[in-house]
Amino acid sequence: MLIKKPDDIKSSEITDKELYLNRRTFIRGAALTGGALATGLVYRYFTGHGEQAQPGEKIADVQAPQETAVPPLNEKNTPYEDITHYNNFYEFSTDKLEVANKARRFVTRPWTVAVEGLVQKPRVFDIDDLLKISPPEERIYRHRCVERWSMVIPWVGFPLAKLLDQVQPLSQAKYVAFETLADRKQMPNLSSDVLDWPYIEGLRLDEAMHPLTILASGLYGETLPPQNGAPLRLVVPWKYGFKGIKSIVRIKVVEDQPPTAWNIAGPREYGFYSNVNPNRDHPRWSQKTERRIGEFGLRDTLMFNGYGDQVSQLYTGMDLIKYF
Amino acid sequence: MTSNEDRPIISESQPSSVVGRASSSVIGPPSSSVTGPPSSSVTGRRSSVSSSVIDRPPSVPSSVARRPSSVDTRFAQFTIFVSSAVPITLLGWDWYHHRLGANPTEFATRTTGALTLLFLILSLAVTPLRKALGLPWMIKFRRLLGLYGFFYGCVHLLTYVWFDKFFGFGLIGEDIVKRPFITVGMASFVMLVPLALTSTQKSIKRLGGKRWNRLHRLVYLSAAGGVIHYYMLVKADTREPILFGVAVAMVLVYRVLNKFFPKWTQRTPSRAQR
Repeated sequence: MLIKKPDDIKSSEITDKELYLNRRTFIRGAALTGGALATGLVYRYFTGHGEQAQPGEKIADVQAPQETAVPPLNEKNTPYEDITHYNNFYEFSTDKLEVANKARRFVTRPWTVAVEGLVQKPRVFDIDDLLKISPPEERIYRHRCVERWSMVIPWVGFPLAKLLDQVQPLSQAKYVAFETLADRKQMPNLSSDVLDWPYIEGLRLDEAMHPLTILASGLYGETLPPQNGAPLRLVVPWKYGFKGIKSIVRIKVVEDQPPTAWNIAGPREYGFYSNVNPNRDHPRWSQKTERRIGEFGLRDTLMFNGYGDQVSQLYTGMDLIKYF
Repeated sequence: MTSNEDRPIISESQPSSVVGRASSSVIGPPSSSVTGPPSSSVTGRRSSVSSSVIDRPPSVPSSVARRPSSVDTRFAQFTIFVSSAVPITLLGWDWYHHRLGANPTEFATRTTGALTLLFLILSLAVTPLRKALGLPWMIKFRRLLGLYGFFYGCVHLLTYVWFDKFFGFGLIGEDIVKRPFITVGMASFVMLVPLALTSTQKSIKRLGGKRWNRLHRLVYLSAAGGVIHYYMLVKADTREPILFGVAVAMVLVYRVLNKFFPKWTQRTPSRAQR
């Protein structure tokens, strides 16, 4: 007769209570750590920024500005790291922190710039010939983005007027149009339709000829990194940053006001002139103040970004609220 | 958490029988009775009805999904609680170590805004997931995720009020009146306040399940408003706000489908999942 004992699991086979609890604790600890770690990784994935970009090369013989009209700035320069890792360059990415990484393999040689349109001597410049037109000058300018942040940037460049003098605009010329490279192989975000590519910008001829308007090829005494518009970009210090078109491949002198990329994207928000103007709010935010990169508080935004003495005569009698 | 946390869900269909149904949790393993400090009235009832509940046939599809769970979710809840705090911790850590890039205030505002939407969407995804997968115990995560949504919303608002306006309430008022994206964002936040305030067991009892549920439908409007707020803010790249919009649309469309075609949208939970 077989009578099963109630405890036919050998006592030796029963997991020790302490061990069982330990295992439970261990599994729970692992699950908790795993959950937190996974969340952290997901957070890092979505907020992280890629590799550092390569630094530029030293530009030889950078000179002090030739123009006496360039006002000296007693404001601290924005650190190189911030200037080169906080960029709006939509061809690469719409995330300002990601542009440096996406642009790091951008090839800027060989490079040509076509200067054409209503000019006596149209010419396709090799970039290195173009940069020899005038000696490089250090121009320390305030840079005010339409997004309410600002920097102080020591550009290296020369006046656009010197280039235009070479090609000699005709008498009916009234505007200058600019165009950025649009190379799908090198610029990953061209596959999106966030803007009408290629990026285009424009200036009135007198704005283009103004001594403060420069073509920049460097900053902090070195060649521009791709994310800042290598090899050649426009800098117009009294206008919002997006007027400073980057990686220029074409400059065309024209008679009629040319279309501009941001004006096409949002005509109510971005005008052709886009002079820095604390009295003309962006429809979605006030332009009265700005955050200087590196500072916690806000600064008052200055009319014409503080360059009124130099440029206000360009707009005498113009309603700058209407022609924003 | 006590099992009667599920009341509003139960009462969606039959507000009168709330306690009776809540007590059905005795079907599960005895461990369920320690899922929290149960209020004495509920435990008292529980023992009295337990035998009849056990006799009931195991599957009654329409009511099953609404039955509170007997699965012990305390540890899972704790894991979610800890994990959800990771983003804000890393944000603070990165800020302290100057790793938020050139414009940390902008980064903090953007990130907490996205996190607010994310947690609102997660809390809204609980009901579709729990019904579609037949896992009623998932309801236990809803309040936690919703409150985290509110928490990140508060931080998001604070970054704006502090870093952008420096507590200039006149300026903030001007923004609310003049700038639609601020108006929409602020309205979406304000709608969350009563929901957070009535997120407690007590409030559910005080309001009654039906009214509580009706009030908490405000979260649909708030999440949609949050997406619109984001969409209106971006300059040109609308891909991210559209992605959030699609997510909100999905969790809301499920609710509509579920109302009309519950047979397609729901799965009967297995006994083990109840």
